Amino acid sequence: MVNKRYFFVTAQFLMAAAFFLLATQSARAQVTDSGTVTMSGSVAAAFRISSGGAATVTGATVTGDAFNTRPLAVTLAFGDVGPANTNSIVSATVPVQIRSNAAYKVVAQMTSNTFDSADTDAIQATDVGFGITNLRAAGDGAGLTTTAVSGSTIAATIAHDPVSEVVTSGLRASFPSTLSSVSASTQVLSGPRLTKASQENKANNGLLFDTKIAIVPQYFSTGNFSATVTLTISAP
Amino acid sequence: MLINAIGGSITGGAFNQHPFSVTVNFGEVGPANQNGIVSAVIPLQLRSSDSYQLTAQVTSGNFNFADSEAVQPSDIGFGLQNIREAGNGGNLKTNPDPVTNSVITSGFDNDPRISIDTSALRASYPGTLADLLNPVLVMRGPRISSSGGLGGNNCSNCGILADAILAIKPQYFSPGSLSVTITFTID
Repeated sequence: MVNKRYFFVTAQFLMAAAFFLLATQSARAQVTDSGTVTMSGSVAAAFRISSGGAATVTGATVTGDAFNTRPLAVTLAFGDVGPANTNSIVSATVPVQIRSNAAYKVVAQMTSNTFDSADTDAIQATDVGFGITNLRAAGDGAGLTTTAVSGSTIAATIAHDPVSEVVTSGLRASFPSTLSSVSASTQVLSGPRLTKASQENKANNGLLFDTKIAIVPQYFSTGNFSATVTLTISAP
Repeated sequence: MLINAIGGSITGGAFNQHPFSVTVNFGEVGPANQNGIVSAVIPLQLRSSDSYQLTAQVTSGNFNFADSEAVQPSDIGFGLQNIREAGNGGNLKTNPDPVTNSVITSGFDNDPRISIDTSALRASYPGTLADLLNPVLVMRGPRISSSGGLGGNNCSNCGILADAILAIKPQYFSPGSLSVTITFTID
């Protein structure tokens, strides 16, 4: 009995040892391994200016950009702005769209012109009314930050509609703001971050404003003129 | 392979590198990058002497969760594609074939560059890093390597390959920087 009992215990031990060995071998077969992918990236402050839609014009012709076209480039041909044009005013409205992922400012500058400053009776920069109005969301504005429209401010010196605010009581028509107002780089608009995290060129993540330009046909000296206004958006 | 990046780079991940470690710098992922979707394709090689499962987890990251307009884990698409044999597959286990019998978990079995949804304001993907904030089974299958192919880590034909694809569409995210590590574990 003693021997049998001893054998049983030994057998139990051997069985336990065998199980331990099997378990050890099984664990060795399950070797875990791992590797890593580390990624990085960055987002810089970004500012965009593009067409806010087709320009509308009264008494002139226009070639320009469809909504979302970038870079913005609109050409206005006012045609005859002498007395041969019997319209009371020639004007154009150019919708502009801006986007940003940070606070912004827009500056305007007349970067080139052919006004004949030597002849004061020729059309001058002061004869071309220029203003910015009508801040609004593009589309339903779902891609704009909550303060994009309300927090944006047009500079008081340029926040005029030259069509409705033209002054014709003097000999020469005048405007509260003109191309002369932007003969140097001039901040015309500023505000907070405009665009939520969203894709480029969506129809509702931009802020729109209207650039308005107007001329009253008058007895200017005969000749031609041209002028280019450049709008630039950047960090304040 | 890094595609459409500006100022980006990819290092590591040479064939048979072990431990596996790849660093991807997507570069600029704001609107300044007009190249389309920035993506990285990273071939993973798996070997096993038993049925296996592959899990993935974002093990570290500096996402700015407080700013929902910053890049979030859900803005980075993740998928696995193109399971294939390494080399001539001569030391792969057969019956069952580990290539045809490995399964990518639904949601990750796509190329995020193709499955991207751009209809909403913010681009989205079927699978993203947001799905990997905890360990997640992304692929599983039968034993991969035959006994002849288990001699070491430099066997060129005893593993299977799968492409891990990461994608991010540049958007008007808040300015800042991003760093994320994904750990793949096979057991």
